[in-house]
Amino acid sequence: MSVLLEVSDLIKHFPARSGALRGSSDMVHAVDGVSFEVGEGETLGLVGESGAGKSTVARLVTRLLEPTSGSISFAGRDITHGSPRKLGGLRRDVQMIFQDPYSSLNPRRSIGSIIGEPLVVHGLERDGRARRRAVGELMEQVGLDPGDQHRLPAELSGGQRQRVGIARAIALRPRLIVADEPVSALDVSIQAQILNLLEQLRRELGLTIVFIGHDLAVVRHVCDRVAVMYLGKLVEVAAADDLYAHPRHPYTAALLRSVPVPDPGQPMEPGALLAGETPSPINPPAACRFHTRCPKFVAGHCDVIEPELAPRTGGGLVACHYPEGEVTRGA
Amino acid sequence: MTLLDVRDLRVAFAGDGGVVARAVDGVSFTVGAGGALGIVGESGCGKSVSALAIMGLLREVRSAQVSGTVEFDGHDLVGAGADELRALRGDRIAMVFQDPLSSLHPMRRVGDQVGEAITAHRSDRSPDAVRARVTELFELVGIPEAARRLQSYPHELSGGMRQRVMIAMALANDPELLIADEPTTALDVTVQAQILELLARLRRELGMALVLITHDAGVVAQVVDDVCVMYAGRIVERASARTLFAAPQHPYTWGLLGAIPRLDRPRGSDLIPIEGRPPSPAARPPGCAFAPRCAYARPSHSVVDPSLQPVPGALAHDVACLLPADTRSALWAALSDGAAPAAARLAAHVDELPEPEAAP
Repeated sequence: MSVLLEVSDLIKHFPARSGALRGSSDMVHAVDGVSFEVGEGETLGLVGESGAGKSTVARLVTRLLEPTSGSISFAGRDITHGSPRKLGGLRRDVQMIFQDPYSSLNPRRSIGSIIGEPLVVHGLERDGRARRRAVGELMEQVGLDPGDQHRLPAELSGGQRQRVGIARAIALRPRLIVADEPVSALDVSIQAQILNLLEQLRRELGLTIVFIGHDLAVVRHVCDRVAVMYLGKLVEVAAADDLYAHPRHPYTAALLRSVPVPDPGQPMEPGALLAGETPSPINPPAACRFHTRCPKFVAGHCDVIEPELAPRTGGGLVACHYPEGEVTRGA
Repeated sequence: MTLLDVRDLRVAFAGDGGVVARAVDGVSFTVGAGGALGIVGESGCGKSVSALAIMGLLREVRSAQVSGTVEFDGHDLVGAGADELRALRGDRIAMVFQDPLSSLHPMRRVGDQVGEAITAHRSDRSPDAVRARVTELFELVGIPEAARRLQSYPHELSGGMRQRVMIAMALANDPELLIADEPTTALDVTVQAQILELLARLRRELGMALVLITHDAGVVAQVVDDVCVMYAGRIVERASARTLFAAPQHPYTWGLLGAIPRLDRPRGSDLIPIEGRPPSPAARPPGCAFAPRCAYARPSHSVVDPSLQPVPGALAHDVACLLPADTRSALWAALSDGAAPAAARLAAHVDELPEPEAAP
């Protein structure tokens, strides 16, 4: 499997307050040294809670945001910098699906024109009739009625609007889709329709997908490999089966224990729950960022030396001095 | 002992051009003292509107017509006067909403807001006693540095902390019943786990009854004793949580359970979506409202309107489904074996069921 997307030591810091006159020097460490690869045809999941930086990674990879430092390469080409014009080909190859189908579609444009817009922008279907036909085919492909081209987003349900967002994303036959919480705003019965549609399109179009989500069960269902983020850093990356069956990072393990299982016979263990909340990304904890909440915290080590993302037993990578399920050092 | 008794609750909203949306269409349930009931369903099924109607919070909404009876410990909440209702609400019955930011006053300190919930019902309390009680409540709901947090404004707190403040406010006067509408939906999963554990602990320690409204089957399974599944303004299935998850009877309940990926199942199991989407409350389909989306519907199901009936041979398990009980059992057995809905329909011989000669 060849590498399609490679992200190296990506960093994105934002000023903590907008407005130049505030004079604040605080920086939000949204993404703080993230590296990963995505193979051609692979689906990589990016999970984490609020403040983890997963949506910022999505916007960096799709070049909606300029990174503070680090590099992004796509199909062997460095795309970290460069004007939209120079990145013209990339704009076609990398597309994004957003969480909120309500706010990401222009409410005054017909869905036919929304789906057809990328074709116009890239000068692909200049002829109106040919474009309408292409849009109709895209609509059919995502399970919409091609006769509904004239309708407005407000006339559609949430699930249909997300189908519009997907049709628009695949209009240019991209190679990589970055899907940022694509089913989080949808009811569960509709969520399954959209997840199945994404899987079907992935197979039919040979797509590579970066799937960002907070629902761990959804991410496991969709992804081949999963990366867990905490406060701007990757803490663990592994094949989905390994990660869920044998989480090595204490944060991954705590996340998995927090998921309420739809079976009253499998109650959560209150003692196993994580205390506290994610600290502010403005002044993240030193060394291991998870050390303030970690049940395995060792003073003088975890808060002094930052653990590197290193190979874990069973494959994958973990950034922890005392990973779960392994003989700890010095023991 | 029954604490809350809801009978034939109906809420209709009058819309433009005389269109009437029946958001809640004849809902009945009871909650015992100290009991916990979950109401599960998707957007627009009427679960939140039911809660608002029970709390009397639709009285100011001119387009809403509420009927039916809601009895709380002998008090009729639908017919109660405004003063009687105000005396109960925030005192013996309390409610927590999904979005704590929109329920808190942005310009006032959270300690004062919780204190007001106390003085509204206990005007004789001294300021010192109120402050001591608020501090105690903040500690009870797990707000660290409680005494200092009293001085915070809502925007200074995280979502999880704000939800704890809302729960502290709801608990201010030791309510006998807490109605929580999607209390953890806006929260991160580790914080959600903490809040769910908090609700369980409060039930244990304070003997408080709970009505938990949620779309999340996992949350329901972990927190409540009994579950009502709502669809299109009605309860379509009602059972203990154990029974509902082990032997669900309604095709919509099967659909909800089959549509979610689960961490306790092997990876790669197919998701089975429910086709179509829920009907608008203004255009309830004739017959069984779920029939247009049901993989096991027969033609007569779009004509005959099912009522909630006891499941034969089961204890305290009711379902509103026109399929015969043994057909439902066969369908659930096939689905549990991994059959797709169409295959289950064949296996359970749904198409061989006799249809009535003529529609009634």
